[in-house]
Amino acid sequence: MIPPPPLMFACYLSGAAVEFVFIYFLTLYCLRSSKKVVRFLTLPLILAFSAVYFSQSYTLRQSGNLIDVIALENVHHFMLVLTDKLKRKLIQFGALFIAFGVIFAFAAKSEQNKKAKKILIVSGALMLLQLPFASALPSLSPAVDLAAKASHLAAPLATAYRFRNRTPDFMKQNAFEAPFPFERTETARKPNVFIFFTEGLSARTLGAYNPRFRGVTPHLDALAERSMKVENYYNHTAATEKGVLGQLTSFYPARTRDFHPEVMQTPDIPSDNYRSLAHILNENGYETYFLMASTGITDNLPNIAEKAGFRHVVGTEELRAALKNGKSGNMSDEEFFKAAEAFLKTLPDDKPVFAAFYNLETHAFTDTAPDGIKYGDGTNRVLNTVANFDRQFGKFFDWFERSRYAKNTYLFFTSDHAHFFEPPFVSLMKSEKDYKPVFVDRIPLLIYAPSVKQPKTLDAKGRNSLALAPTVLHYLNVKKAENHFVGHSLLETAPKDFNVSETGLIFFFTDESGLHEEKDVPEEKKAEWQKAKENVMFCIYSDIRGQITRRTRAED
Amino acid sequence: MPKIFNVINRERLCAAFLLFNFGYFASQAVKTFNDPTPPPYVRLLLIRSGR
Repeated sequence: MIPPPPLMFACYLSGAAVEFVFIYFLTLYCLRSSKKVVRFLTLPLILAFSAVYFSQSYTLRQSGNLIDVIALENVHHFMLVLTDKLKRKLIQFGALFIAFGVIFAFAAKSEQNKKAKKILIVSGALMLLQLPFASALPSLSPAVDLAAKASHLAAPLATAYRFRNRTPDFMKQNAFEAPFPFERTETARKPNVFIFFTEGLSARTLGAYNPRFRGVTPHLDALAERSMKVENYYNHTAATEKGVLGQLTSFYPARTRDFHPEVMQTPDIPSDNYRSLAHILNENGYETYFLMASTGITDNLPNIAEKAGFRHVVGTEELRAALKNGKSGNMSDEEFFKAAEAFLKTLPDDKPVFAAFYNLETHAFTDTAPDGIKYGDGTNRVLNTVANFDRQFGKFFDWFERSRYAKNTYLFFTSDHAHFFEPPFVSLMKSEKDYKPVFVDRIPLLIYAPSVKQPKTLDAKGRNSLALAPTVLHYLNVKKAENHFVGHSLLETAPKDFNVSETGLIFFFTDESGLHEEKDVPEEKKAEWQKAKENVMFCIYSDIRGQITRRTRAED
Repeated sequence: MPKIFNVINRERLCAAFLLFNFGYFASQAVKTFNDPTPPPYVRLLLIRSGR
C-alpha cells in the first residue's frame, strides 16, 4: 500500500539524505584511494549519481511522482517529451556539470585518510537497510527506487519461472459467437474499414462524452451524433506501441521490446507470433495499410505495424510522396490528414481497404505546430492539440464524405490509450470526480456505419480496448478466423463482470462502476482478480517468448 | 596552481556539489507538496492530514 503524502514526503527526503551521505563517503573513499583506477572513477560516479537525482527531481515536480516503470519502458520516446522547459533545464544542468568537471580537474587532490572507509561501511549498511523497506514504502529512496523499477522490467523473467510448466493455448477458431444484433443493408462489396488510433485521447476531452468540452471538438461531436457512441470503454494497456499492437491483436503485448532485458538477448520475435486484425483481413481479400505520422525514429511503430501483418506500412516518406511538399521529420496533424487524403485518393478501387491511422500531435507534453490552431487563450496545450486535431480531422471527414469511400466504409474512431497524466491535463480534469491521474481512463470509441441500423449509444460497462478487433470482425461478419483474442466483441455478452488494464505492470480493475486501483478490488473478487492478473502476465511472457500462436508452439 | 584551488580541494568541491543536488531535490519535493498542481489526490490527502 502506498503511504499518504506527508509520510511519503518524509521518506523521499530521509531516503535521499542517506543516499547522499553514502555517495559522499563513496566519493571520499575513491578520492583517497591509492589506486589510480579508483581515483579516476570519482568524477563519473558523482556525475552519474547527480544525473539520476536531476531526473528524479524534474519528474517529481512535473508529474508528482518519481520516474515510473512506463517512463523507463518508453525511454526511446524521450524526444517526444522534450519540452522547451526541459531543454532549458538540460542546458543549465549540462553547464553546471561541465563547470564542475573543469574545476574538479584543477582542484587540489586529497590527502590519505583512513576514516572514510569506516564511514563508507556505516552509510553503506544504512543504504542496505533501506532495501527491505523498498516494497512496503516504494519511494523510500529515489536512487534505489529507480534501480528497483528498472529491475521491475525483468518481472517477466520471474513469470518465466512461475509458468515454466504452462503451455500457451490461446488459439480459437471463431472471432465471436453471437449473431450480429443490428439490421443492415447488404452491400455488393465488402465494406472498407478505417480505424483511427488517435494519439493519447481520453473520452473526457471530447464534447460528445463531456459537455464541458463541446466548444473544443465540434467536428468529432458531429461525427458522434451520426455514429454509435460506445460509453464506459477503457484502454487496456499503454503506451502507444502496446496500445496499438494490443488492440489489433486483442492481447496484452510484452513491454516495449528494445528495453526489455530478455528481449535484448532475443530481438527476433517470430513474424508469425501474432494473429492480428490485419492478418485476418488480408486473408479475407482486404488490402491493408497502416498510415502513421511518426517517422519511426521516436518510436518503434513501423516495426510494430509490420509485425501486426499490415501489407503496406505507410510512413512519413510515403505520405509525403503523395503530398510532394519536401518536408521531413514527424508530421503535424494538419499535414498528416492532408497526406492521408492524398494517399487514399491514389489507391486502386479493386479491393476492399483496411486502413489504420496514427497521428502524433495530440501526444502529451507537446503543443500544436506552427501550422495548427490554439484554443482560447492558447495557454493549455492539451486543449490546443485536441482542438487542432478536431479541426484537421473535420477537414478530412468532409473529404471522406465526398469520396468513393463514403458509402461503403465502417469507420472506427478511437485512441491508442488515455491521455497521459501530464500537469496541464490533470489541472484541466481535477474538478472531475471520477478522474484519477493514472494511465488508464475512458477512451472514445465511435462506430460510424451508415449501412447499419445501430443504436445511438452502447454502454461497454467497463470493458476495454481488447474488444476492438473482435468487434470490427463482428461488424464485417468475419466469424471464422483463427485468433488468439483475449477480448470479446462488444456486441456479445462479456464472460466476466470486470476487466483488467495493465500499464508498466501496474494493474487496474474496470467494471460498471468505473476504474479502480488494485488496492480497491472488492474482497469477494480478489481470487478471480489474482487469476486474471496472472493470465495477463502469462500473455506478456508468451509474447516475449514469441509463443502466442499455435504454429510457433508446434515448432518448439 | 592558483591559491584558490588549494582552498577548493576535490573533497570540498564534491561535498558542495552533492549538497547543491540534494538541495535542488528537496526544493522540488517541497514545491510539489506545497503546490500539488500535478496530482489532485495529493492535495486532498494533505488537507485531510491537517496541512
